Amino acid sequence: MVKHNNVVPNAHFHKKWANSSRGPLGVKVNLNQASKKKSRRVKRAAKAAAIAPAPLDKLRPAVHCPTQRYNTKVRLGRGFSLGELKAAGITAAYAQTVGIAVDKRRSNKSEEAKAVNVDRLKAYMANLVVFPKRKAAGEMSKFTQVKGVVMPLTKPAAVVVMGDVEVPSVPSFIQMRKARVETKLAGSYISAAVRKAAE
Amino acid sequence: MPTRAHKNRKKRGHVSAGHGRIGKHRSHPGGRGNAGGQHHHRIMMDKYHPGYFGKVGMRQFHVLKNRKFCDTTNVDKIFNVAGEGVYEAAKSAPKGKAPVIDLNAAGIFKLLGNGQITVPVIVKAKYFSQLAEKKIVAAGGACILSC
Repeated sequence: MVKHNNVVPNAHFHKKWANSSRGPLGVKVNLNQASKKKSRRVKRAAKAAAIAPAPLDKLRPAVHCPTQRYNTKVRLGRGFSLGELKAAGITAAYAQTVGIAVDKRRSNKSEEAKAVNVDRLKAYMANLVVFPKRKAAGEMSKFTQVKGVVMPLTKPAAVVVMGDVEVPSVPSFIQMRKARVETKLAGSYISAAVRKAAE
Repeated sequence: MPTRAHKNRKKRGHVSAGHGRIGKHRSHPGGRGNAGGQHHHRIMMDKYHPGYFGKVGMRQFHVLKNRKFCDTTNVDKIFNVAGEGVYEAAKSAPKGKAPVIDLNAAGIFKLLGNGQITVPVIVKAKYFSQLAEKKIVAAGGACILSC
């Protein structure tokens, strides 16, 4: 029984730790965390040595983030679209052998965004050095391996842009409100037009 | 603690051992846990935890917050968003020229009208309030809709 002005207890003691029909969350102990860290490190180093002097990561495209909230932001995506590869004159099969990530599901919606990635591919191909498959390890060791992100995206430096002051003849506020009303009424306009055509 | 040191040794032989004949020493006389919030503990709940029972508002299934996202800023904070050097540029701008502040790029979509502005700026945003536009234009600048 709760007495006086105290917090009403609402603790779910029995749920979190149970590994039964009440909840799937069994408690795990990461006692191997330190050794896993080391084994991953060793594995990564072994992979790097095995593929040297090829870069560790693949070349990724610059993509716009989804939704109207983030679509002004650009980040690295999963892989280049087939259209981008075609425009850059590379086949998808060849791209995968030279460290270019391919995403066959992605498609391009704007010419500008496509052009950026085509340029990216072209710049990569211009700097690409392809070695024969079997070459002495001693010969390879003189080339340095690219580590980390391949061709990372750079943020343009902040500059103050000066523009001509052109006050719109219809105030922006009015334009905005009109556009909003028209979007709301678009459906009724269409149905009215259909009704009129039917008469 | 050994039994001989317990206080209860003194109460041996007395019928209710200090717990009373009427109330008695029972396990959960008021019910276990939060029992009786709407019944026999109602006064306590209403007094100290108003609003504990019931719900408010309408349910909305599948809320997509990013589609309704509209971060705002005010006229008085606009140079904080714009970055360094923009205020100085606005101050010394020749007639008919002004620095461009793209609020969309800063992740801010609407400009509101609190505060005052005395220098011309060209503001780009998705939405403006009427007062914000009035103040920006009165200071010799312009509000441009963009997305």
